[in-house]
Amino acid sequence: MEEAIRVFVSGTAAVFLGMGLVYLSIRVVALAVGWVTRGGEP
Amino acid sequence: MTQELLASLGGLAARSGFTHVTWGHGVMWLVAAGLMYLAVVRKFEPLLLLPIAFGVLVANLPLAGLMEPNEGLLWRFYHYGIQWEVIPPLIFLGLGALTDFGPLLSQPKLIFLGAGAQVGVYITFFCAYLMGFDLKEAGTIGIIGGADGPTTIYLASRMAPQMLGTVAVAAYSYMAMVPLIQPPVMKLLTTEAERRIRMKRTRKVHPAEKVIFPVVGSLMVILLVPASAPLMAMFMLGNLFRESKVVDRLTGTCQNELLNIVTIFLGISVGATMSAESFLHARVIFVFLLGLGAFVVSTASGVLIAKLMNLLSRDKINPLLGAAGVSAVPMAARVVHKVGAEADRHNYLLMYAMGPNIAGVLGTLIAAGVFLTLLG
Amino acid sequence: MIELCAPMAGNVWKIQCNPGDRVTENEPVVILEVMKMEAEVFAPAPGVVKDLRVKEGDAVDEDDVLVLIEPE
Repeated sequence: MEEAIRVFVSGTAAVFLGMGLVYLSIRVVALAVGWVTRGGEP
Repeated sequence: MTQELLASLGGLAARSGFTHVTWGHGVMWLVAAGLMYLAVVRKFEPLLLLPIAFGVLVANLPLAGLMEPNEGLLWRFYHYGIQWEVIPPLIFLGLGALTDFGPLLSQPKLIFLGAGAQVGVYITFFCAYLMGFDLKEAGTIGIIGGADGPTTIYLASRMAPQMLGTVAVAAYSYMAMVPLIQPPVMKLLTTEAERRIRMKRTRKVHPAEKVIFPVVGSLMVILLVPASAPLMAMFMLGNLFRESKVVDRLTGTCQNELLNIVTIFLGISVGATMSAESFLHARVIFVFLLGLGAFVVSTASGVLIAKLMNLLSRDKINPLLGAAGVSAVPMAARVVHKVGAEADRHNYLLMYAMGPNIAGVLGTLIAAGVFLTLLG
Repeated sequence: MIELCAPMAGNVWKIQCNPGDRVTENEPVVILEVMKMEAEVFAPAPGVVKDLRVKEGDAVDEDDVLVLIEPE
């Protein structure tokens, strides 16, 4: 039973964490591409 | 002379399948016929259900030995394609080449709707465990709620191969029934006013973002959950092919010939695992019930996460979009559009719904990777 | 003059009117096909169809002009 609860909690956390990381990478990439195409930061 | 003739005929009869047919076989033939009906007449996911149906039929022909270990033709497809974990990743190569991440990239916060829908996977996992399935089987049943055929098959082949055929048939059947399953749940959990919410115009996505995203995105996910690597890496490679726009031949092959070929082998191998011995148990009914529950709960958790996000932010999301986090692409997105149009015919939610729909694929991949890491 | 624009990118599947036709508010004027799903585009106000900017089978982007309507 403990293991099932552990899987439930860590699994849900991992999914949100993973999606959060992907979210951040989308925002960062968008920012970076925006800077570069405006001829700004290298 | 006649004695030898009769003996020879008798020998042939003893070695013919007709004399070895059991009730179990007969039931499986009916199952195969039922699946063929669903595929051909009702058009439920025919690309998968038709070869699965046929695999069920021929694997349940006595003495044919198509699933005989080391010798049977279908056993070889199953062993080298699925047990060696080659086919599901190749399917993802094709899917990645078909997927347009634009709708997700233009409104990134929708990714959390894809995450929310996966909560249903874990709730179903827990319920399955409480009902007596062991942890690995419960995880395999739970991932049905991710509404992703190849991921379900991949996880089952790793964690619970005895249930492979069952969970695959459940997953594809319920995916086809999404227009029936989702709307009642969506309407129960939302008010008419919420369903009429219009989404704001989203930003235009630069083509460079679409090329960089598969690389960076897969990096993040594979570093966090290395067990998701085989599927994630192939998904993103296919997407990279597509968005780079410099390998159109390869992209075309991935989207068409490759995907079709692998789908054929996937379907027939999965169907062939459904022997009478493995399928005709009372537990199979519970798998189907839990699988249905998985779709319902995932829809609900997706919608509820959207409502939660609306409490925390000024820009309101139409909560119906949460249902698209159930990654039956693009059916769930179409369902969201239709339910939204019922509330307000001028509301065109389809493209907004594709964002969470695709995010849901990533979410299911992560969830499967977590199950493998903790239980595999 | 009202420009009726495409609400989503897709393909023009059916054009439900001809130049010169009178249309009522919320009458479906064009049907788009987006990802194998049909989506009706409605006239925003009553008027007369002046010009069809697309034909059946054309691919359109979001905000492309589909039909010009002269309101009454």
